[in-house]
Amino acid sequence: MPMNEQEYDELRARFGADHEAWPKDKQQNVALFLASREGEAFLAAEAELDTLLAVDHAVPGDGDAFLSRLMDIPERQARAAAGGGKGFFARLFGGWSARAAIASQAAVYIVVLGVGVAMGMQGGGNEVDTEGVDLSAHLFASNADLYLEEE
Amino acid sequence: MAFEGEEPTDETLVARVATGDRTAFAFLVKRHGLRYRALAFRYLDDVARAEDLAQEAFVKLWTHAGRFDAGKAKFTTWFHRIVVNRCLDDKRRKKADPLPEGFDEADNRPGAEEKLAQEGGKARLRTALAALSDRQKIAVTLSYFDGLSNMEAAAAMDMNLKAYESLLVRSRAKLREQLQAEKQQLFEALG
Repeated sequence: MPMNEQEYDELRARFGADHEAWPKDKQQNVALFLASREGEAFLAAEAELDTLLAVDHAVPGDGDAFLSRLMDIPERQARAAAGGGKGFFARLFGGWSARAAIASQAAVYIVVLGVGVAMGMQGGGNEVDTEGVDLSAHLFASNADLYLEEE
Repeated sequence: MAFEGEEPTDETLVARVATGDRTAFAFLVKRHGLRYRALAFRYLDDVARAEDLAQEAFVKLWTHAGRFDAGKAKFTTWFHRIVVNRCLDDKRRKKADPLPEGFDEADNRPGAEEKLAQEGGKARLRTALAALSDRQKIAVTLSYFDGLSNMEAAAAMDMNLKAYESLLVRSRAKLREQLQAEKQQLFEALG
């Protein structure tokens, strides 16, 4: 039975690129498929992909410096463990510094909001005379005059 | 603590790392550090991020070596899984970050002139790889760049063998499609 691209791909994924390592009963089908026009085009595309995948994809940058950083991990972790908890805030707040920070921020918001509301309530005596700047009053008045004249 | 005689296995070294043995950790770093840096780089295509992710994985090795169970997997399979998961997480985080206001996403499709300049196979492959899904890209990286067997790669991706082989088939087919499409576009651009 003739083989198609997908079947070829599945066999290749399972058994590798070397057809001789494939099961004997598949090898004849593979040979027939690759001898066909479709198979030739497919094989050319496969070969191109294999060539690209085989290009040396060296990693840029300084590999030795990276290894040195990795070697320092135990030392850095030890320093972090020894240094952790000795800072001023760490001693002040201990393990609940994050919760304390959130609580203190919330307290500040409440105080600022309270002061704002209190000041707003006390400002009721300073009435502003809006009569002089309310243009809408004049607009309605003049419109009313126009309608009266038309009648 | 020095190691005498035969080279210690990875699994022996991890057991010693779990007890805080820095020499054993240094052995593992020398043996595998560059390999996992390369793995992350081939997936992320960014050296700085690749080094940060590989370093995070080695920090985890130092701090959580006791979680490794030599009876369940080889060290390299376990560690591949750690690095692969970090790479996938990193991609997910990147996707979740909103773009800044007024930011126009760059059009990564190279123009005809740029294409002519990008004759190198690396650039062509990079463009084709960019079209793969994250998991497809990981599969290509593990199988073709890192040289893992299908069984090892499937374990590193926490998949069964058959599912991994299907993923690899789809990845190869998509890569071929991309390369063919790119070639077609180039011919059209050249008239």
